[in-house]
Amino acid sequence: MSTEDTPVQLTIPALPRLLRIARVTAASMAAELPFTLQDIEDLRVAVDEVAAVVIDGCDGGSSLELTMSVDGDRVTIRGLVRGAGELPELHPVARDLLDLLADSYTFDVADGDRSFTLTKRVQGVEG
Amino acid sequence: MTHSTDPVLTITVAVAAGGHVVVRPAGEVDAATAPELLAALLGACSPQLTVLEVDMAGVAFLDSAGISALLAGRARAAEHGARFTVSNVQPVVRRVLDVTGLSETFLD
Repeated sequence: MSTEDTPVQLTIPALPRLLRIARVTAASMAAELPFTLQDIEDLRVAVDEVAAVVIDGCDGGSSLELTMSVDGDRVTIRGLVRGAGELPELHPVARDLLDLLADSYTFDVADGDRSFTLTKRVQGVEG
Repeated sequence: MTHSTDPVLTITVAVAAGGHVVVRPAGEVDAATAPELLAALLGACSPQLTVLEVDMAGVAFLDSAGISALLAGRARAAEHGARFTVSNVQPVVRRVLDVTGLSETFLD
């Protein structure tokens, strides 16, 4: 059974000092695909940036719920923090990094729950 | 002088002759640890400062929070009329500086 069949789900306290767990897990997921080392490093930075946004201002009582999956040529990572409220403004440097290092990223707020979706594709694969 | 003993990031500060201060973070600089780097950079600034160097040889990860700390340190050094430079960056850090267009700002 691969991660293409079964997404990895990870819930961690919504604390900045635990973002490294998200980074390590994302890098492990990327290893399922023929990413270059630079692509994997790019994904580490990208997931750090999006996760930092959705946990901003949260305390240890909130959780970051991550779902990571491999689908074809891409890794998709979704994050959710329940009840965190409005999203903070994305820092311009973070926006620059995400624009260049991720293939796509979105943020959303629904019923006070913050979420993101991030995708990173293997370079050079069409479709 | 050691500023931080966080297991994810340690920071040492060395004061050389002529007002040249070298800050050496080692570990990962992210939203959790960037405030420690910022504190070290701001603490290194004094009227005697001529060069504030951040030796990044030991930094294996840098995100936008870390870049913001570097920019703030650079601004404070400039207030003291000092030069700010980043040295010995690893490829992963160089990549982040390159994509944000800050390599020329920080690197000699």
